[in-house]
Amino acid sequence: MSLKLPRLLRGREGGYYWFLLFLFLFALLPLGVVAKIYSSFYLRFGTELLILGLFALSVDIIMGYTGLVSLGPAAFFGIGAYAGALTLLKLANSIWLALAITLVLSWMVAWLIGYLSIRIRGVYFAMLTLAFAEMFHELAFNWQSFTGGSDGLTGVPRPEIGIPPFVLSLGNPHVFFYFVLVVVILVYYGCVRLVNSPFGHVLQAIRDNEERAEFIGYDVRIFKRRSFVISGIIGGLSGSLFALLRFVDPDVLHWFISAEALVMNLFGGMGTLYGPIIGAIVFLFSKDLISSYTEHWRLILGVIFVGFVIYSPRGIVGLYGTFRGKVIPVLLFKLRRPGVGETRKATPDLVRDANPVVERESSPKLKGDLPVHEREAGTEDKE
Amino acid sequence: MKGKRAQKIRNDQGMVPILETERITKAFGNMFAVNQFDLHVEEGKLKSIIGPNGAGKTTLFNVISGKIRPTMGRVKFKGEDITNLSPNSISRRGLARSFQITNIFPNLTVFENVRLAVQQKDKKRSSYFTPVSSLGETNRKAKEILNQIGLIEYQESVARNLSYGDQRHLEIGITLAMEPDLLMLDEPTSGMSSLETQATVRLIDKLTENLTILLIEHKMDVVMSVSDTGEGSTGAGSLFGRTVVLRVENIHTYYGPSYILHGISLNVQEKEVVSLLGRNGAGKTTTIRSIMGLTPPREGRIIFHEIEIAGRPPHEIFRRGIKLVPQGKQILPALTVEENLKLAVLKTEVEGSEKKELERVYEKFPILKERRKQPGGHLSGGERQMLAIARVLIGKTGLILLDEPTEGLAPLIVKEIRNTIEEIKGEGVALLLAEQNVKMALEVADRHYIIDKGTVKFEGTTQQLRDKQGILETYLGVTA
Repeated sequence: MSLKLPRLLRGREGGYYWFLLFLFLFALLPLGVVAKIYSSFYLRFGTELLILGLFALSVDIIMGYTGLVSLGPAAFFGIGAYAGALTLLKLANSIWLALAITLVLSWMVAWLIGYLSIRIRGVYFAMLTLAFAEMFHELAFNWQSFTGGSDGLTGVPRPEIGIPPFVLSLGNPHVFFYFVLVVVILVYYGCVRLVNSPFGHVLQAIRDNEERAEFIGYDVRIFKRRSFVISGIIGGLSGSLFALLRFVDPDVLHWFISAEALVMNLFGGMGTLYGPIIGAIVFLFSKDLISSYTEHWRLILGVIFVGFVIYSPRGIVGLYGTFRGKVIPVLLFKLRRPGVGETRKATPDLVRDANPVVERESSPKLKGDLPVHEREAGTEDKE
Repeated sequence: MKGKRAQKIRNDQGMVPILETERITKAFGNMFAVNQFDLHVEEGKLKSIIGPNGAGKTTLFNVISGKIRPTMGRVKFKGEDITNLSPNSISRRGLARSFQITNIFPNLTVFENVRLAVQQKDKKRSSYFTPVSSLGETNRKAKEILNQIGLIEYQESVARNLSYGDQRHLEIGITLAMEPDLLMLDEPTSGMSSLETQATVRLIDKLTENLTILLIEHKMDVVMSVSDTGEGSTGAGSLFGRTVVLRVENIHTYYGPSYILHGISLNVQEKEVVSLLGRNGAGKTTTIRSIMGLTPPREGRIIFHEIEIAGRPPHEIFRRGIKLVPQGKQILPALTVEENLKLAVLKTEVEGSEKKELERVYEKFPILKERRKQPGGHLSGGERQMLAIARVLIGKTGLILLDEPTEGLAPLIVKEIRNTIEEIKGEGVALLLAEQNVKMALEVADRHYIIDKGTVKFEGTTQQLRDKQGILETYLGVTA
């Protein structure tokens, strides 16, 4: 109350910018390595978190904001990885060329897959995207001469960035970390702008009620396809960065990659942009932590996942709302409920009492006294 | 479609037909929903299409707005053939429609709902990086529309949390925000109480002075007065000498943190029809849901045939003989009428054979027998309601809970439903009826409870209620 926050950090869209601040804090991570607080393993791990967070973000655009469940995001991740690695190996040792080719290629593939599969809905759409991803997986596996088959591509050179004489090698984990961080911040900010733009609002309208969106004059198929393409491009970008972090083999196109991206989204809370990135971080951390104790990490993580889906369908970032809306009031009621008379006083009846029924034309119920948390915390001021 | 047509002339200038249909025909299987329908709407006029449920009104709208393709015939809008265009291109040409079943963006705010419709005309409607908040003209227009439909104070509320009446107004607001050349309203007052209906009619009148409108409605005042037969009902005295079937004692029910029922008590006796009257949001449906076990009360007792059922799971309550006909005619649209009924047989212990049981039900609802091979989804609103009622009559039934059975139905069908209720009552089944249609409730029920803000405000027989006009006015805004 007394603390006046900057306008961007307040209101419904505030969460987006809070997370941007959090991403900037990530820049401090390499300092810990330099100061020898933890080993350089964590620098690599941090880079991986960011890259997979970016991948999860790409899925959020199509699933969280457009409401289309695609089971084939691995196609773009893999295509990005192969495009990046092959460019560096066979064309030129330039990160910019590698990224440019990645973007163009994933744009074209996403448009094609989108063109063919968005005309159908629901489970058929999901299965078609899965089928496309599997096709690319097969292709990478069998095209030995070009993709290296099951051996994958080894010896991908690490390009350099900068203008001589200020040249840095992405082979240096510190440099690569910052490079990835900058890319993630830029893409994340772009996505924040995107979902708050007229285009982004139409996507959310489609997610909410496709029929009505169509009837107020939007060609939903075109909007869905554009969203699919944007998601594909970001997915490809994340794959390309991944190729520089690790080596590339057909596993980057495996459906498991798609499944993990969906899990990260549900874990973190889709439809928020930052939720999936947080989901990726928590997922990979838990995986790392649990797998150091037992090889059955999937079992344990699976149980946690089921718990989240059932009790907090809006993921980790939805926990606050879930607690505020359910657990806290229930506790309060339970605690101060000696008798019926008491309960009546404790009820949120202000709205009804403030509006005597007789004077109103429509019913007084449900004006803001249903769970406010359903949407986002603090909806009070929006420009 | 042979429905009566009424025409109201707004001004005398416009004589150009803005919308024309030529022999529009739509067949579902071998049933014709719309048969060779010709329609001319002149610019600047209000034209209404009146007809009972199932006459094909909504189908006609669906054909015109591009939701479904006609089997035959053509639709011309502003001289252009729009027959096979997609709904979005038809909308962009200036033809906007509302929906009978509220069709808003439930998880977006009220303001966003309207702005999306306004935004469609903005140059930057699909710009990727401009913030929507910077589209000055669009935001201004959206605010203006909200002012007009009286929802400006709820602009930041999530649309799904609005009351039913306000959602209907938002539905109209979205359509108006499209600034259409032709506005097609599909039963804008469907499911509203008479007071809300008046408010809506006033709203439409005010907002659409210079617009061309095509309106579907069955709740015309004229039609209403025709159906006003004013049949007397069982008066006092029915309270004596009967066993109590259901006793609800001081129940308190919550939806999550919202406190809905503040101690409701009521009882239903053998062979009795009891009505639960109240506005939208008064707690009628919640009471019914509490009895059925769908939202169990946190406090209080519910006793059915001397057995405590509060807190029991719904399927157990169902097996004990309490059957619910939910609001909104929830039948299985993909199954045929007969399959819908057979499913009910499956779930219940039936005396005699399945065939006999079905025959027994068909006897009461000849229309269902006629339609028995048709998918539930092809039935009209009235027929769906019949099916929903027929379904609960299968097997052992001690008490039927009817939640707004006449919502959105034409007066003629309402009458049929009333007859059905009386027939059921004659067989010794008790009924608890949540209603907004006071006229219907007064005619069919023996006793009434008026609830408001989750408490019982009045309890008494039809005669007692008729004697106390003030009560109806205060809590329901009608005079009986």
